[in-house]
Amino acid sequence: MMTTEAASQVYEDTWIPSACGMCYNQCGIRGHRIDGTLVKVEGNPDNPIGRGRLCARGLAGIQLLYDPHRVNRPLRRTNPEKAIGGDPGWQEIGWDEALDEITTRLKAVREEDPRGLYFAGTVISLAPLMHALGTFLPAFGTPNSFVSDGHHCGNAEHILARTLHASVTTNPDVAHCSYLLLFGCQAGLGTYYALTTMAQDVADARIRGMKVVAIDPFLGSAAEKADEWVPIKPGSDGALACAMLNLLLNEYELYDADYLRDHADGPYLLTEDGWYARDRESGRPLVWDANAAYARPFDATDLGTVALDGVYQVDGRPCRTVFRALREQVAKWTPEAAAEVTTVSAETIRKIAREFGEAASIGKTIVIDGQELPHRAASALYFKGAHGHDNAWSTSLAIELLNEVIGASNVPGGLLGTNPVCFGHPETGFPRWEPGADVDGLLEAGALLYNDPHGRSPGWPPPPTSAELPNLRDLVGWPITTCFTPAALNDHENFSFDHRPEVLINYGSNLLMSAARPEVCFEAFKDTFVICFNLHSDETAEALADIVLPDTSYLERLDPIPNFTRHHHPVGMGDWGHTIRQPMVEPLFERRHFSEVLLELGGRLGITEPMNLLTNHLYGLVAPHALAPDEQYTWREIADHAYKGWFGEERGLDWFEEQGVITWPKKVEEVYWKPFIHARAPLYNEWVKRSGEQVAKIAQERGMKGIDTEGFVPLPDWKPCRAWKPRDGYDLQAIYYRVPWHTFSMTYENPWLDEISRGEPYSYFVCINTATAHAKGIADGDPIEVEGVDGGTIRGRARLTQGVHPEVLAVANNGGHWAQGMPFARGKGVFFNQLLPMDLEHTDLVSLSMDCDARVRVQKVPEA
Amino acid sequence: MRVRVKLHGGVRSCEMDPARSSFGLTLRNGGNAGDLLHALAERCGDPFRRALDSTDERLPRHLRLFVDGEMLVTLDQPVVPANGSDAGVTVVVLTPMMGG
Repeated sequence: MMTTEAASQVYEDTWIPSACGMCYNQCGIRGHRIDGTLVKVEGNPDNPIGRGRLCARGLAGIQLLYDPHRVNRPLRRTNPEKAIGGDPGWQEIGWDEALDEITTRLKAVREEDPRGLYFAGTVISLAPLMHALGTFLPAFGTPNSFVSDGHHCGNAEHILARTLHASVTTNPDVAHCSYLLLFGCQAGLGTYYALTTMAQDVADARIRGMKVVAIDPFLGSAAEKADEWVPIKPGSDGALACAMLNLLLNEYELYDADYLRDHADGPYLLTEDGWYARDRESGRPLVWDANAAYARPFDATDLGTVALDGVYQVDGRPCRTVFRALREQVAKWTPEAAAEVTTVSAETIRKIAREFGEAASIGKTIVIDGQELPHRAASALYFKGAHGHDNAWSTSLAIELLNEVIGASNVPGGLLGTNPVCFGHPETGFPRWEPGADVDGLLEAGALLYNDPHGRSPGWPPPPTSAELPNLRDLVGWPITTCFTPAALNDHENFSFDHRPEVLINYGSNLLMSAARPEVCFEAFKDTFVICFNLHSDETAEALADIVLPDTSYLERLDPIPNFTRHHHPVGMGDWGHTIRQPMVEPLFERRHFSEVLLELGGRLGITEPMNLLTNHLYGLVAPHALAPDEQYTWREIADHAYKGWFGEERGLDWFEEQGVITWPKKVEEVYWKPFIHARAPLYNEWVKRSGEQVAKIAQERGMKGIDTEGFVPLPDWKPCRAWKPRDGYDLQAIYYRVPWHTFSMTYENPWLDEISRGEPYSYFVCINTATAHAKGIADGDPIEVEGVDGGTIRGRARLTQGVHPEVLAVANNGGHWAQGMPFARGKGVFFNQLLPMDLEHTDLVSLSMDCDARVRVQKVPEA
Repeated sequence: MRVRVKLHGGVRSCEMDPARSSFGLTLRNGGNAGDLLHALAERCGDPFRRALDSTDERLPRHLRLFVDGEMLVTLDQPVVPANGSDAGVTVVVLTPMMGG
């Protein structure tokens, strides 16, 4: 207990509600500050994101705030020779000097060609990233932005979350689920969206009896807790899913015919050349009216019984239904055929498929809050482990369709889009969004990321138009993020870009470590004026930066929208919540918030007007809370406008600083929206087929090489990824797996998290199957060298385990830092990305997913 | 009537003289967003036409149109009033969020 004398010295003892920023999930937190010093961070029980739970990273965040190795003042390079691992010769300078030079350079770029400004960001610092992407960059006039950790992004999953679930991502409704199938994903058990909330929800469901089956090459955080671990060869998940589809549709006949007919495009007719058969007058897709015995538009008002399955004559041509096409498409994937590809036995495939289909309880209903709804108590979820390959699109589609065929899509127990329907706060009706149907009757998302009342990206992804942008947004515009820009710049002769990067603003990302092997990004930007706005002098800063600007950590800054309802929030019933991120302490030293610096730069560059208009657009601000176009606002004033615009005049910034979060209950119609919104999920992806043809045409016209459009398939199939097949004596596949106490490479400087890694036996080692290691004469703890067939060599120590597929080497996250400015992280763990090239050959063009595994060989090497 | 148009962001380069911060354009009384885009396409030519990729009733997905600070959503929304009395209409055209 505190003595009276000590207590009298305490002038402040307070708790501050805010949002975490140690990983992508941005959970609700609160910090304990005593006499100006933050002494503890913990989960905020009032916040729906986490509901008071916080993971190790969040608890350790305080170490980031007070890290003595942070960048605290602007730095200027004095060594003109840029090099990976080189010494930049940092010299401290003042903010005015730094911003004067940056302004001069940006003005010159904007005058000459604004596309000369490039921007790289990280999704971990999502709110400032979105502010830059949504206001500063478009106002400046450059489309050249990319996310360096884009190869960890959902990519293909995000596309399907949009087309099938009207959202950005998905999570299973574990509250009503009996059978959870995880493909390379650790939802609620290790890492994934809304982790801290899902962890409790999954635990509750397990107690209730939900079975978890983890399909993963490595016995990671999910597999070790699962009821069943199915070790699979990396990159083959799509073949397994195709075989399961085949069994469900063609052998077991476990599918939800009503759902497929009424809520999907199952009955739409396809021509022989693979397009929807369309009505000559209206252009609408046709279905077969069994009563009338002819084809009619799907939205005809007096349709009779619609045929789900079959082949029918339309205008003298045979047309099969989408459902029939799907059945035929997957028929070749017998369990035996899939076993050859996946190394999962045919018997196991049959068992899982039957369990999954039977758990769906097709035909059953459940009553929730007075509403009778379909109850499909099985869900298949996937993420990077499954789709982090150059067959990402078809793999993801196959897994997604497992949910669709059993009708477990946006109904109780199934896979839910992350909050794609919101009727708004009861008092203001804002924020509000909901999906609808397009002219073909197919699902169209209402809004995806921000609260723009008109939806930021309504409609289908834009068609390919050209190939003039290094981030390929004009060629394949539907992936949310990509890290492909550096590879495209290095391949500029093939792409024929008419401009080069003059200035790069690199916000919060460590390009050299997070995108691929470091040479890729270094080559792309070594002749560019590089500004790194970051927490540490990391590998990228030391190799490339001309100026480093000291960023605030998430514990020192204000973000009015720190997390996104359609991204980070839990799915299922419960509360909506809107959270503030606010400084728990004022920025230390000379650290500044990136968004505030962009406002200042906008004023210096004369682009305040478009920035303000875009801010209104981004945040959905309308009169009287919209920003005036020509007024220079502070960041706090913008936050105040936003909060009052969304939640009423009395709930401005002051209210949120005090309360931390506003909540209100979700409605059944918002959470389980599928029965209430008449929009069909596309099983057949005509748009992908069309896009493939357009991309091929553009590539041909521009004389581009390496544009392979074979993967633009409208129905699921499987082809091997680059690393799947043994080549030239390279007999193993190397993968990375995620541990729940690190965020890829960015948290390795944190001593508390390092302590966890040192205390557990795997994450600083290269895991190799015991039998495989013995065959190669490798013993536990031996130093080994892993060499990639496509280049790159990594070294580490072997950890022998039976918890990894015999043909696989597994590395945790991405360690092995070498920057002088990150002394605690230096040399810890293994630098996996050294094995990853970045080029067209290793990229799925539909989703811009990189192949995140590598074909390798391993050998024991002498002690260093 | 005359409206003052500012092109910002990615469409700024569509202006023939990028050094100019704005230019005037004549629209009929009651002219709407569709009329404005048509007039801009006439004035700025192919670079601007390429930005108009939309064929439906909505504004092009890649453009944002603000009239005196208010964003327009559909092509039939008025840019200038029917009586042509307001001579102070300022139109800002810019590209929306860009991402990678």
